[in-house]
Amino acid sequence: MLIGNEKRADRIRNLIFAATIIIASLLQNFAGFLPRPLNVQVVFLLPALVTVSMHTFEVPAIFFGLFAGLMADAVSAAPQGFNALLFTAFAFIASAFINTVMRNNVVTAFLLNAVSTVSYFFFYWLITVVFKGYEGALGVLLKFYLPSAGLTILFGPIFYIFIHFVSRKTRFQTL
Amino acid sequence: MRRFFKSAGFKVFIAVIAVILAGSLSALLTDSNAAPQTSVAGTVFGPLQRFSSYLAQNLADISLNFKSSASLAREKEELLVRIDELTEKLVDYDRTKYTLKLYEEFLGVKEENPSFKFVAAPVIGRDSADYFSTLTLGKGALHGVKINDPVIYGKNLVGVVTSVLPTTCKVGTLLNPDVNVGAYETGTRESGFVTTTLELSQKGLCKLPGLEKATAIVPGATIVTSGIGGIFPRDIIIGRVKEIANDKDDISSYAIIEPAVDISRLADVFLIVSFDSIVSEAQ
Repeated sequence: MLIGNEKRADRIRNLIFAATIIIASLLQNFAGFLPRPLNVQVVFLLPALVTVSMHTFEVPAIFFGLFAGLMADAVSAAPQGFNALLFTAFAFIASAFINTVMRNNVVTAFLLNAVSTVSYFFFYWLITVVFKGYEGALGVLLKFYLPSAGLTILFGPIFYIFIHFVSRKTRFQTL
Repeated sequence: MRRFFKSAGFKVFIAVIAVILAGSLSALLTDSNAAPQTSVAGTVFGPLQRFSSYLAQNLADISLNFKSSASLAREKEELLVRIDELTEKLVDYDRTKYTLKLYEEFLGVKEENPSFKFVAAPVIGRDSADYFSTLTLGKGALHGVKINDPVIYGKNLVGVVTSVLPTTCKVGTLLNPDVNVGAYETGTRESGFVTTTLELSQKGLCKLPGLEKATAIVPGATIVTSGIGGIFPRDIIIGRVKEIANDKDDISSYAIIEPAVDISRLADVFLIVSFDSIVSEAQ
């Protein structure tokens, strides 16, 4: 009975995590929900995914990463599989760090988010701008990709607070 | 460390990465430029995207209603209700007017070009990490959409289909330097190809390079597609010349073009899935 309740709590938590990823994806993929200050963009999926991964074990985190990456690939201008690959890696790394060497708190969430987000935008810039040989690539990095990364990182703590709250509320507790 | 590499999590991670890479490699071999896993994801999440784009448009419409309702005093409730009703009617009117204008322009294009076959498609997504305003449309291979199908809004060119999934497709717009369109200026008939640069793309502009130093093209002139290359039909409006500038690298000059359509605000477009390019070029 206890195991049954634990599984149920796990399922509810995972469903909420999946719903968070879906909502983050929908929010980021459609213009109009949020204003775009200085023409920069927010990739909500990254902080959502990293904070979700911090609250799960490695294997579920990998599948959350794959799920988020496939959603992003469905509308992405980057080469096919780019988002799936990076998101799966970020999710696995975040989960592995938290489950082995890092504490789970808002500071580590900020650090993991910052590294993932800056890496993501850097690789995106490398693949969609630098490798294509366009002139003025550095300007695009400084004017668009880095400010976008900065704005995305700011949303990390918000997602962390929400996901941490959900994780605590859906944790199965025995007396 | 050795224990980490032998863990189940790491093995699953490597397996998933291998599957993604295999899918990405297979995308290079297909005509649609789409990986199998992305096709599945696009098909599954397409309806969700459509719903979110619908929601986004409607939320933008009713936000004023919502704010004013919260701020008005209680004794004005009756008036508020009335205002809400009228505002809703106004929103409906604006939406109908927008749709009517879109279809009127579309009808004009259809009458002028009977060989065109169209598919109407909603814009269901924009890649938020993309610098070049790539659009995702809610129609795909199942609706007859193919790579290189031109995308228009009214009589104006938006871009070209770059990859196709079963129920969605991605569009490279005029603001993407990879999109090159054969074009000419309607007054002087000077021709070339329209493209853009990173700097112009950020400002929402394109350019027509390779013009003579003493070009007769003046600001305000209209640039349309020439039909050369067979990808785009002839005489679709690209935009208007904003200014003429001298090229730094050689003695030619180029025209900076403002696209006729504001790509950042598009909600619906038409795909030209078939047209008679021979007739179009002969015109």
